[in-house]
Amino acid sequence: MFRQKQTPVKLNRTQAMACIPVKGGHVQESRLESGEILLAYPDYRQPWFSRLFQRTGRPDKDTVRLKKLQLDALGTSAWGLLDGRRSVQQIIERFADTYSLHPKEAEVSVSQFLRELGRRELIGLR
Amino acid sequence: MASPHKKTFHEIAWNGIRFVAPADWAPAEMGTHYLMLEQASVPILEIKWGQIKGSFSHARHLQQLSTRHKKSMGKTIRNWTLPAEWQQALGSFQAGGFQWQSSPFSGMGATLYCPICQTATLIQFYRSNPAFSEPIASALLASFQDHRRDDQTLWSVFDIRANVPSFLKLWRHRFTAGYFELNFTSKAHTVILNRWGPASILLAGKDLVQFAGTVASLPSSTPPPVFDENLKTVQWSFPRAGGRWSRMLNRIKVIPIPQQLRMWHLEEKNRILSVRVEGRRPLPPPVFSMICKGFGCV
Repeated sequence: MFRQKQTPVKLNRTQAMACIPVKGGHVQESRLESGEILLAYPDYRQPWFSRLFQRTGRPDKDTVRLKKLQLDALGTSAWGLLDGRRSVQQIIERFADTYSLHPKEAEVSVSQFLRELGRRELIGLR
Repeated sequence: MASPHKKTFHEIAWNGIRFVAPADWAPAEMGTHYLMLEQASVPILEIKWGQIKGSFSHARHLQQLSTRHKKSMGKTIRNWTLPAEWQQALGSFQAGGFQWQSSPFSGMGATLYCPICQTATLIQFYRSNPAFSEPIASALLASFQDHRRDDQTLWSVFDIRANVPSFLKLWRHRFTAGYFELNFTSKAHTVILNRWGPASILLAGKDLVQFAGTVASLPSSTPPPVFDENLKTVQWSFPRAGGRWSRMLNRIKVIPIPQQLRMWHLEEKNRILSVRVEGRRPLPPPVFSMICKGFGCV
């Protein structure tokens, strides 16, 4: 219960830009009629919560729920750029080219998007 | 050492000052009389400026700076003789140099005074950033200007460029991914310049009028807009309140009263721009047109 938290690895900007984002294998994606992508991913409950259910003898049927995240047009486009080969820097450059964005603007929006996906554990960095 | 000729430069203009800087030096912090540029997310240039009353003394300003910064940031500032290239670049200014050290950064800079517009400017470079080089600094200083001969102020940051009459003073600004706003005020008017992008996404399934309806709070009595011939520009002029009672009510209203709005789509840049005027009366049409003409994307 009081397990020590893992300290996150600190990267400098150059290292972060060279990382390659990889989609999680547990994420299911489906394309909606609008062309936007809907991501579905399992949401695991806290282990201590499951153990509590086991101890109290209550059935823990819905320990794993499916969470959904609908991406907008820009999110869909950025998600499409995650091919497991392009680095963060390359994704930003491609994204800026596609929408004629200022490099700084593209960097802010793509990095925010990747951070959000990382927070939800939908992608990992290699 | 990087040569200034091998780099692409872009113009930066903000509240009266203008200069050219390498294209990868981008504004990171902006205040009314303050600019901080960074390169690869590391600070590289800082500029502060303001009009001063009375005489200017480099030594006195340096002394003030030194005391203030030593207390607040542990920054050590000492006098420094400007190199010949810098002195030549700053020919029209009274200039003095300084060096500073504050862990983990260090750098050098100059205090400038323009006797014509009585503006004092402090420019400091972060030598600790590997992108810094003296030829680039010289090129930047040679392009530095702090006043214009006409009564216009140039604003040029990121990809927007606007020429605005000097009577309009910057009130607030906002630069977020996809949305830029420059908000100016005068005694009688508020003028708001907006830039949205990418237009291909924002205008998907809607036209410019529908988009304007979502971003500008248009009153219910909004008259139909006027289009230009290729439907890329749309303009509203909001009618004045008819009766005496309505006009009196307008006078005491706290909420802004829209007067003019022009919005246009720059297809080749994938951007949407708009100029909105609020106040008790509209801007004279030639002034409004001039602001619209002077606002664009580079």
